[in-house]
Amino acid sequence: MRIRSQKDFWCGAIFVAIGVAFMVVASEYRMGTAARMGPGFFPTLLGGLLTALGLSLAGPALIRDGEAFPRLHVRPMVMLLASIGAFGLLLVPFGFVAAAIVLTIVGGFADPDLRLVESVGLSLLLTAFSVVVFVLLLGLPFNLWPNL
Amino acid sequence: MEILDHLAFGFGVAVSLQNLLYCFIGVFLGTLIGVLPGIGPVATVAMLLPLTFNLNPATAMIMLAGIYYGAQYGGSTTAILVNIPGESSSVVTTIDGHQMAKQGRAGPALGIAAIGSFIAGCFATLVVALFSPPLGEIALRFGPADYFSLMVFGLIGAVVLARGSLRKAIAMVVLGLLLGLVGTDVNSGQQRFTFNIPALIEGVSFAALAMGMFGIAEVIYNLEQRAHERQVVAGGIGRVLPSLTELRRCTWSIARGTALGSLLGILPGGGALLSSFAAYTVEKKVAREPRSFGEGDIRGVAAPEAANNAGAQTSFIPMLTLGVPSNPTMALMIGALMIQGIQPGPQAMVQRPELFWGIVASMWIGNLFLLLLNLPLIGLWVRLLAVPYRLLFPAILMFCCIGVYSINNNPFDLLQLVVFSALGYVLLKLDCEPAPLILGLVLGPMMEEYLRRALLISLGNPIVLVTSPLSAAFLIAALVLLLSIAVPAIRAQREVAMKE
Repeated sequence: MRIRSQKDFWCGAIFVAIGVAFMVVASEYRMGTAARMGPGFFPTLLGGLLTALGLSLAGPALIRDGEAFPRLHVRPMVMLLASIGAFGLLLVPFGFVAAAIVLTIVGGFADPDLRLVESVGLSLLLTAFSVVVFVLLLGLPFNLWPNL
Repeated sequence: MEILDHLAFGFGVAVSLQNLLYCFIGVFLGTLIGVLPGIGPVATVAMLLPLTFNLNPATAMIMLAGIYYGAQYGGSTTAILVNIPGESSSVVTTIDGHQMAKQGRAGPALGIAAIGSFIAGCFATLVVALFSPPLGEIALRFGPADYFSLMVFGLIGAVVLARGSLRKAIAMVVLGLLLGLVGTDVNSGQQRFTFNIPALIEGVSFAALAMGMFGIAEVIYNLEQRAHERQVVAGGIGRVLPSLTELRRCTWSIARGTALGSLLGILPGGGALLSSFAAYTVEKKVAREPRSFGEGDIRGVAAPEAANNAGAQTSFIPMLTLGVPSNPTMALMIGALMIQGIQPGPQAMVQRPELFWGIVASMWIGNLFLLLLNLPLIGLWVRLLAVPYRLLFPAILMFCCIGVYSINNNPFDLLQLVVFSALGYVLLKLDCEPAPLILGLVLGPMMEEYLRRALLISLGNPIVLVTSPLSAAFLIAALVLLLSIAVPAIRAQREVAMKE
């Protein structure tokens, strides 16, 4: 069967998946009764509601024509997410300076019109700025250099 | 007059050197970031949130409020000069404001925006001071069922005003509520949805979610558009102060915009956006020669700018008195207060009067700073606008990461940032707006608690939600709102209004 409205169908499917996942996990918690709601009660209620909403989006999308699934632009997404992940991984062992330089250079690749020299310069500038403002002036507790 | 005593007390709090300084820094930074195209007030407040964590609660709120006004005004500057609204509430300003700029009248447009905002801000501050205490007193008498239904009403109100599909917006609210439940259940001590990750015991990182969905997801979205080239209005902006004739022309527009904004700001889902749209429509209806609107009529700038500032101000009323956010910025404010260990609501108002009255007084001071800062600094903001996006986004990236990390000093929060950025981007592409989600996130645990208490008292009978008159009224209001959207005629009108 052909899905007529890809966009709404997958949107609904995402909500159904999340709703069901919450209900499944919540089933391990005590439900309690309405008068004495256990920790599982409200999440199950909401999970069910989200699933129903998801179905009401995905169902009609099978029959009614609609928009195609939007093209996700992989490059900016992957580069930005990778740069944040790298920052998180490098920060503690290698210190703020190294992590910040990696963050801004990898993140810079998110722009398809990247100019490498400019990006490196900007990275150094931003790192220096952040060290001065956030660490030296505002006193955020960052290790600047690798923890040897 | 009791109110004068209260205000005097509030000014006593706000006029300490420290608070004045942070209010000023807030307004300055808010404007600075808000001017940058593609960054609205929500993203600005989210990005600057971590700066306030080390301050005491009153000072933190004063600074955040300053950031909010600044960002709001910054957005208007962008709207007038570049024809890109920084956010939805300055969409209407682009219509006449940008026309004025093209005609070489950018200066007066920016000037009247600042003056209108200031007048509206002063009036709305009085409204907040007058109406919050009685509302807070009424709220103290709310039972759990009333609160639960009030929150349902608030969330539905926010959803109805979101763009696009109603079902998607409701689904986003529910998703937000669910994410709000992650962490330790206050009642049973049970850890829910934490998957044994210690960082999740305290719940989902509010800042990571806000910055992921409003900051990073937006950056990805902007980068893929690739049309970063912006047309900043060439040539000078001219004198900033509007002429006397122009001022006289605007007097009533500002007055109408202020009144309308003050009123609409209080409604759930209201605030700046609805106010500015309504004000522009009213101006067009009232004007004797409505044709000049859309072609650089200064009243088309004055009224919505006054309205959105008044609305931004009075949207603090439900947040401070009831603990219910009426828009995403207020949700961030509640999040900030909760990080400070304060649960906003009527109790907080009684127990921490310095917090409430300090904020009220600082609203006025913030507006004054806004005026004093913007008239002379407009040249600086204009130059900022010329910074290309490719130089801007690495800075946004950096500030978001530092901000998210510095809240708990836990690298895991950066992983949350990655997850929420990805989720936010995909949902954005599927036409799901993040605003309802963040409202849900803030209200999730509260709604559960009030529902639990309501059902405990009624021995599990959900009829209590309709037998309490107040609760029933809120639920009926919510239903009416929902139905009004389902009625095709009104829906069509809403779509037209959103498109304009």
